[in-house]
Amino acid sequence: MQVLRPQTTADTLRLLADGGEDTKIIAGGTALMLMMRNGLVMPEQLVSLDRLSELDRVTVEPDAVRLGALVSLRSIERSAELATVLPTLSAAVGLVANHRIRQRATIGGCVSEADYASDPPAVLTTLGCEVHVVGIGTQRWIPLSEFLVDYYQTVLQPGELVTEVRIPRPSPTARTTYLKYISRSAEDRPCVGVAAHVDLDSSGRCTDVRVAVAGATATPFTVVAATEACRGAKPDKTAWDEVAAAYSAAISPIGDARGSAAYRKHVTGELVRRALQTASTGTENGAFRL
Amino acid sequence: MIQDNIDNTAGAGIPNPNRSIPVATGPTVGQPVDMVGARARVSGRVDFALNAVVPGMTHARLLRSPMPHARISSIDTSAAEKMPGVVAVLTAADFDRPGAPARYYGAVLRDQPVLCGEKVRFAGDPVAAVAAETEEQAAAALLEIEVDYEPLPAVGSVAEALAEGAPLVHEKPPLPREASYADIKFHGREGNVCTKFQLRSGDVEAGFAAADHIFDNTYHSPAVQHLTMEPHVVLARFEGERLTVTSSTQAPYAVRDTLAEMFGVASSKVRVIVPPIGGGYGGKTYAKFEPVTAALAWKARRPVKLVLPRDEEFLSLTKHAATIRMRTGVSSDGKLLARDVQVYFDAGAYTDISPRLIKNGGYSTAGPYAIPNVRIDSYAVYTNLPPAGAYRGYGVSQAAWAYEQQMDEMAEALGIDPVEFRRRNLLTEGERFATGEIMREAHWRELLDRTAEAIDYDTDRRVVVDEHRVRGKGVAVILKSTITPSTSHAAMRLDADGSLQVLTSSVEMGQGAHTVLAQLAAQPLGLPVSAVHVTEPDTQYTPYDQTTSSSRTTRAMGGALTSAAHVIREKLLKLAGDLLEVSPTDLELADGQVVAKGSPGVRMSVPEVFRRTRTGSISGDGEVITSGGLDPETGQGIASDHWHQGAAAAEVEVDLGTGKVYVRHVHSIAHAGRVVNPKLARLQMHGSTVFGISHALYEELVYDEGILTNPNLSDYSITAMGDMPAQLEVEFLEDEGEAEIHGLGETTLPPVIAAIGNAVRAAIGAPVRTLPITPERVLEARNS
Repeated sequence: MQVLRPQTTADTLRLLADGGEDTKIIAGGTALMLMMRNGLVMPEQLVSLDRLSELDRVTVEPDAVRLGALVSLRSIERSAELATVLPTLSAAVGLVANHRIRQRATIGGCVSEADYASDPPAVLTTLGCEVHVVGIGTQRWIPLSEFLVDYYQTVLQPGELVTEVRIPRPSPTARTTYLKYISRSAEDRPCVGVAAHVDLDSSGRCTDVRVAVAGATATPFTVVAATEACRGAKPDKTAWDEVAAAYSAAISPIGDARGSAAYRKHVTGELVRRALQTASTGTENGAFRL
Repeated sequence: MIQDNIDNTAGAGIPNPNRSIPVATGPTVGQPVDMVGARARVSGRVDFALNAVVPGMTHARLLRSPMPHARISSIDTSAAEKMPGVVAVLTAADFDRPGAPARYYGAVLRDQPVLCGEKVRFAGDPVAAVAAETEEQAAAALLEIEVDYEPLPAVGSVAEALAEGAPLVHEKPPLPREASYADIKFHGREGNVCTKFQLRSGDVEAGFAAADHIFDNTYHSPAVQHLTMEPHVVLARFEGERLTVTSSTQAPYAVRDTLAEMFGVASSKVRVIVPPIGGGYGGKTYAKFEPVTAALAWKARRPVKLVLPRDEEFLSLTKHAATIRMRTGVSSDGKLLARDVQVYFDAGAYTDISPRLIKNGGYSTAGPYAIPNVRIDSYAVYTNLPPAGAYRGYGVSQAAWAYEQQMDEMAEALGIDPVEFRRRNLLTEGERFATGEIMREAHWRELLDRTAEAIDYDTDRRVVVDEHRVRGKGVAVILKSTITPSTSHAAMRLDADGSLQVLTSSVEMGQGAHTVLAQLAAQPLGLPVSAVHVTEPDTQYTPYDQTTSSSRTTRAMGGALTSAAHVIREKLLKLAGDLLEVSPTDLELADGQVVAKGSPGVRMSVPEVFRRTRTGSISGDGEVITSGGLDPETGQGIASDHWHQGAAAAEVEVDLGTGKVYVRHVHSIAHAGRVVNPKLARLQMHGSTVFGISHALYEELVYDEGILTNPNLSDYSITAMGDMPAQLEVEFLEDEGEAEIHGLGETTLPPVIAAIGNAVRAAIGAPVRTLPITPERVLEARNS
């Protein structure tokens, strides 16, 4: 097996085009190495992004945060600036696996792997994240909710590369929360995670409620009709019970070692209610491990 | 005194003839000495078998069956043999010919093929082995071996294996090995029953007739894996017909004997060397991968090294899954009157050490209680799953999970406090256990009281924390045996510079055995621990030791070493006494000096005694040979040369919305007699606690149609740092003055599991009778 280490995005794209099917991109390697070890992929050529320093950049703009694809989860978690601008994302990222993994894992890899049992995509979904995809002579911005297609599947075409993600700054009045529920031991992936976003108008009524569920379905699960219906409602138990019931009813979760489908359906309702409660009544934005 | 097969069903009870040399706290014993080599272990500089390299060494990989049960119609290795770097490809066809090794091995029954020939019995059963210049080449060659299988119906559980007309894992019962172990007897071997242990004490039917209440419950524990940090590693090499094996084994002599039988040579032709190993927990007892590696070295005519990959570790050996049906009769005032138990241990595809484990696990279901009428039938059942064998706790975890859960369920039904209910029934000094043996050094009541007090069991047994969470408290108390009869020999040599060389076949596997043994050897000779060198086990030089298992090393090997040290001490004092003109009995040893008692001015250094008597070195031997055994029909006799006694208490918090259990506080306590090294003893008990939490809440090997679905550390869940309780306490109960040493490597693992179970029951008001206590099972129990 050959490992290629280009220094620019342009060179990377050329190598991907030349390499064809048996070429895989490797960044932190926390996903690809496991897949290779389990014989799920057997690439003949790896294109390593480790020298693409241009992609290891955090840019905080007036209306958005741009994270280069090579920014590690650990640096997102440890950035004081991101903790201020995107506190819930920052804290949620800090709940992924353990610090050794977070040191290696990158945000670009995180969205490109499209692992259902992953925390950040649900939080990114509620924040309206977009993914920048480039190919030779092409580039496009795609909402994360459209970028993720199925279990371990994205809209990425052969030869394309994720170079960065863009996260709009949340409304200054938005309250955000992520609850990571782990059904087994502490460093496990989520059985069910719920990201909640609640924005209120000056009279205290809901203007923008968003909820995305991690770990239970192929891609972050949302019931937009249920959250839209909260518009104008009081952010109270009645409203949240309705959203929770709608999510629990609509979701068709996976059954795996972390919980059966029926169990996840129950827990989804339980956690959606708690996440919304925490977001609307809690004193701080952030992420919590249950 | 050696006394096997005592048959005594009389009421008086059977006195236990075994005693160990009492030891007192002194300059080295009882001191919190740092583990010898601890720094090297942490910094990765220990010379593990993993690091072993010899000239001309090749690397092995195993081809394993993808099916749980199948007939092998053909194996074609011709393409693999031509692959780059391949030195040898081994299959069943290489065995059982003139000059070739025998293909079947096993510690008790020779039923496990080194490589499968006619059929495979579990998904993962090895069918071929390749030696190549590199591990990658060996792995590549595996893909070129063509095996045709004809699938057979498989049995994936004890229930399937015992069903009418079930497919047989072994068509005809395999023959017992001649040189097996004295404590192992066979019973009821038919169908898929590997063997059975039975115990008959008193009149069970009469006991039930007299009972006011009869409780009948079934409890289940799953198979789990040992997950040693170091995998199984074997390096085998021949020089002529002499075979040398470097192995990460807990039982060098058992491995030696298995290999000698397999190759048909005298045991002196096989040398087994054991470097420090990276964890055992029972998974490295008896021959495991030494036979296949040695056979491959024999065929390759080159040294061969096998390092088991992690996914194959999951197929190597497991803790027995167990289903225990327990019927217990109780009087309305809370006295246990009768117990009738059926224990089904899932042995997997091969016998390994199941016959002993189901015996020890079987009689342990009586618990540390005085029950006048007991009937126990404990079965080892073959299934088409990876073999089960020794695992820290040795059947007691499964037994205690049943009897300690049931104790709480009965106490609640009777309206008696669970601690008080236990107190009314716990064995006391001089009482008969279910095996008929008289219990001595009985401390269960004190252990129970202290652990209950540690978590303030009497108050706030169930507390509602908030709208989601409730807290509950639980306790458990257990007894555990150690291999009986058993044998340990030790030798040591005091040199002229005052240093002591200790020859022992006890294995250092991270538990600190060699440090503790050095402390015990040093004290009678007045030496500092730093003057003692403990050798690695090497069957060519170090004397026989049965195994490093069963929490027996500190007591058994420690006893042998203490005897040996006293032999040397007597010789030395005699030499010194002649020089100093003082009777040896009036001399003592301290700080490398021989000193007259009461006259500190009359003294001589040890090197000077050597020099002036022209002595080169002083040698001494010691041994501990325990006696006992149980009658095969009645299970009466001496089950254990001494009993391990432990208790634990837990406080948990349960989220009623998700069902998840959070452990807040665990306390555990063991009767230690005399603690040799409080620092290492505490670490042993911490280890047991962590294992207990892991078994209670997380660990389970999950099979789908006989295929293991979680053979990696992502899908298989074990305790992580984040799961540790805020309060984790361990405590020893020590005896005054000179006292016997009690093993404590496993004692508090079983009660931690059961205490957590009882705490969960207290919190949610319903028992979860199946391990692990997953959030889903908690919700099911609560909603049922």
